[in-house]
Order: sequence, then C-alpha cells, then structure tokens
Amino acid sequence: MMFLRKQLPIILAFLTGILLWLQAYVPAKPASDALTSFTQSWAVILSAAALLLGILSAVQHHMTKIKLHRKGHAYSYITLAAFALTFIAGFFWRPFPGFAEKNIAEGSFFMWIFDNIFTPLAATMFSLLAFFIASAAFRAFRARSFEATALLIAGCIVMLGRVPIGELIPLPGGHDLSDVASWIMNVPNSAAQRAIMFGVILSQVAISIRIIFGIERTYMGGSD
Amino acid sequence: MHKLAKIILNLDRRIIYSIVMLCVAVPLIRPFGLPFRVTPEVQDGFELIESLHKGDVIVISADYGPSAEAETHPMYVALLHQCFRKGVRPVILTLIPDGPGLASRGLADVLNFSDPQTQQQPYKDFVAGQDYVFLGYKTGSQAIMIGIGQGFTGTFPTDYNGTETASMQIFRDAPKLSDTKCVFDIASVGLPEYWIPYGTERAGIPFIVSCTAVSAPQYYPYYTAGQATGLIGGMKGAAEYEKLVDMAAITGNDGPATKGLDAQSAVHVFIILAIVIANFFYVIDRRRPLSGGVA
Repeated sequence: MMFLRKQLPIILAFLTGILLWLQAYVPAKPASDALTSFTQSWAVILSAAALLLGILSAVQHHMTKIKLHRKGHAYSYITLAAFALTFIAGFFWRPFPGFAEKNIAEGSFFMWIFDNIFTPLAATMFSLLAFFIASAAFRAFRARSFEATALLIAGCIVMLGRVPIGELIPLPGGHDLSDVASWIMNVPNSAAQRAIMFGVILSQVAISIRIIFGIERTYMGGSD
Repeated sequence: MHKLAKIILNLDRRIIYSIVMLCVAVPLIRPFGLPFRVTPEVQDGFELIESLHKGDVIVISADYGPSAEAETHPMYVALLHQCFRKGVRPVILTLIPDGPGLASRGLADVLNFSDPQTQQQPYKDFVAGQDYVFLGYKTGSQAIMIGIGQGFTGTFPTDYNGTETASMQIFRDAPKLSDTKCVFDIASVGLPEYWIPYGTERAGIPFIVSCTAVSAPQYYPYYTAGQATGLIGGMKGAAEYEKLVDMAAITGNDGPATKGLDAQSAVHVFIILAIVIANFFYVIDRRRPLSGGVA
C-alpha cells in the first residue's frame, strides 16, 4: 500500500519527466515524431480523465453539502439540477421534441440552454466587475505613497489612452494621450512582463527538476 | 470642507453603481460616435491576413466563452468576414469547454449573412470541410497544439458535427499546422502563451493574438519580440479591426465592438473622475481615519 501511495507516483513522475525531456532532444525525426505522438495521446487521455475527476469531485462536494445541510446547501440543489439537465441535453441519444436533431447543433436543446441560460449568466457575472471596479477605485485607489501615485497616474493614462477619448486629449509635439498609453504598454510594461515571465519560467524549470527527482512531493497531497 | 469630504468619502456605493449604469446605458442608446485611430499592433495583424491568397488555410482558435463575449466575439465575426471575403479557409477549433457555443453560432451567423444592399447571401454556398471547418472542443490544450503540428486528422478524427476529417479537402491541402499560413488565437484565457512555444514556433508560422483588454499587457513582450505578428486587445482592438475590415460597409451598421466603445469611454472617464475626486477629498480629510465601505 505504501508503495502505491509513495514510491509509484515518484517513479511515474520520474519516468514521464525524463521521457518528455528526451522527446525534445531526439534527433531522428521518425523516432521523435513517434515519441511526440505517444506522449500527446497520453496527455489528451489524462486531461480528459482530469476533467471527469473534476466533475465527480464537484458532484461529490455538492452531495456532501446537501447531506450535511451546510450553509447555502439549497444552491447545491440548483447546481446539481443544472448539471444533470445540461448533461442530459448534451448526451441524450434522441433529439428533444421541438429542437434540432443533433443534440449539440444549432437549434438543439443544449444550445438553447447555452444561449438562454449560460450566456446571459456568464455575461452578467463578468459585467458586474465594472460596478465593483468603479466602487473599489473610488474607495481604495489612494495616492498614499510614491509607488501608489506612480501606479495611479500610469493607470489613469492607460485607461484614458486605450479608449477613443484619449485620442482627443492633445499633448505637445503633435502627440495625444493614446501615444503615451501605447508607449507605456510597449516599453515599461513589456520590460516588466518579460522580467516576470523569465522569473516564472526559471521557477517552473526548478520545480520540474524537483518533481522529476522526487524532491518536491506536495502534489501527492503531503508535505516535503 | 471636512464635512463635505466625509460625505464624499462615504458615498453610498449604490450611487456609484447608478452612475456606472448611466455611463453604459446612455451611450448605447444615443452613441456619441467618438473617432478612433487604428494602432500598429492591430494593423499588423490585419495586414497579415490581407496578404494571404485565395485558398490559403489559417487556424482560428476561438478560446473564449460568453463571459468575454463583448470583447472577443466581434473580433471573431470580423475575422470570419475577412477570411470568407478573401477566400481564405479557416480551420476553427476551441481549447476551452465553453468555447464551441459562441464559435459555432458566430460561424453560422457569418455563413447565413445576408448583404443588406444586394439581399444576397455571399457565403451560403461555402462547403464545410472544403471552404472552412469547425473542429469543436478537445481537452488537453498543449497536447492538441503539439498534435495538430503532426496532423489535424489524427488529433481531430471528426469535426464538431461528427463528419470524418480524413476525407476533407481542407486537410488534404493543409494536413498539419506548418501547412497553414498562421494561427489567430482569440482568447479570454492564457492560451496564447502556449500557442507560441507548442504551436506556431514549432511549425514556423506567424501568430496573431486577440484577447481581452485586461490580459493584453501580458502579450506585449511577444508582440515587441516579433513572436506575435499582431495584437488585438479588448473591445478597442476589436473595434479597430472592424474598422479595417469595414464592417459598416459589409453589414450596413457599425460592428458591436465599435458600438460599445462610447460606453467604454464614458465608464473609463467616470472611474478616473471618481479616483481624482476621492483622492482630492482624501488629501483634505487625511487627518481623519478613513471610513471604509464595502466595494
């Protein structure tokens, strides 16, 4: 049992890591393509399995919530009912009366759910951000320090410069505010983003090496 | 003055919400029609597609869902119009689960588009698998990018409607990613960062990214380094693309992104005014402890 829980995942992580690493360095094209094809198939299978695991985990979470009558468990009924309905709409082998013959085609019941329930709900959730951002900007965006003031000024320039009104605000030299916003995005922003990117990628390399050699084991659910 | 500062700094959030609502609603009902220029990053993307020839194949990765529809979907529709008008053949796929709905609807809308002047449907004779193909969604984003680098039909044995891809003309002409002319990723998620190393750099083809305004800054390094030929950020970028494609002439109306720009301008101006006013009164009132509210 200990072998299955501890040693086997480390062996699998080591072999998979080495295999994927080798894949990039195999000079013979047929062998490299075969290896790529093999690992790609596995990646798709594992990704699909992870999706299934995610669904099962979400269902289990809401079932437990309902069973234990936790706070807000009424919403879990709605989540599970919506999940079941969408699942049936997409997978049911017969067309729903009054809808298109194929269950995921335009005019199907599945697409009706997508167009009339999912789309408005998702758009509403995202739209609410504008209200929260406006309120938060009013209450929290303060020029308390030099850094906060610099951020505030840059933010205001980019916000105005990235909409048409920015082009109506003239600056000396025949420029306008949108030119300043473009410069901020192309020069300081690019430089900072690139630095962050290099940092993240170097960290990923370090973590990958730690996982391959079994030093990093937190993915198994335990600590180092 | 301190009293006024106290009132302003503790302004009921419902007043702010109401002003935001007005800033969105009024310009949508009565547009101001603010003029705007096309930025170089959008122009570059547009010109790459314009430089293609009839029959060329491109990949459109429609990686956005309904939450980002306002910013990204107009771009997708304008791009399809541009492709179909030029005879460029798109291979459309999506790498996020909520992507197929909008991608298939947008494709159907453009295919069924009726010219308001001639009342004809210019794309109604287009054949799936020959003039375009919609592959739908498949899980495993990076693996899919690597997979189509080896062959479309092996990774997607069937299209969205269940038709076998092996017999499709479009994949006989462009069997793998390197046989296409570019990848155009319209994304509300971080997939463009994967398309470059796993897709376009391996295949040696150009890459264009279209994304939400909030994620645009992270793609500027790729644009400045030349790894992304074009960068179309947010609703403004989509409106610029609509202008270049001349959606007003095609459909008889401004595109949805162009229509939304006035509302976006109004909200941005309000937010900046709110920040300036709040900071002004904050300076006046800074000796007092700030009374917090709920965002």
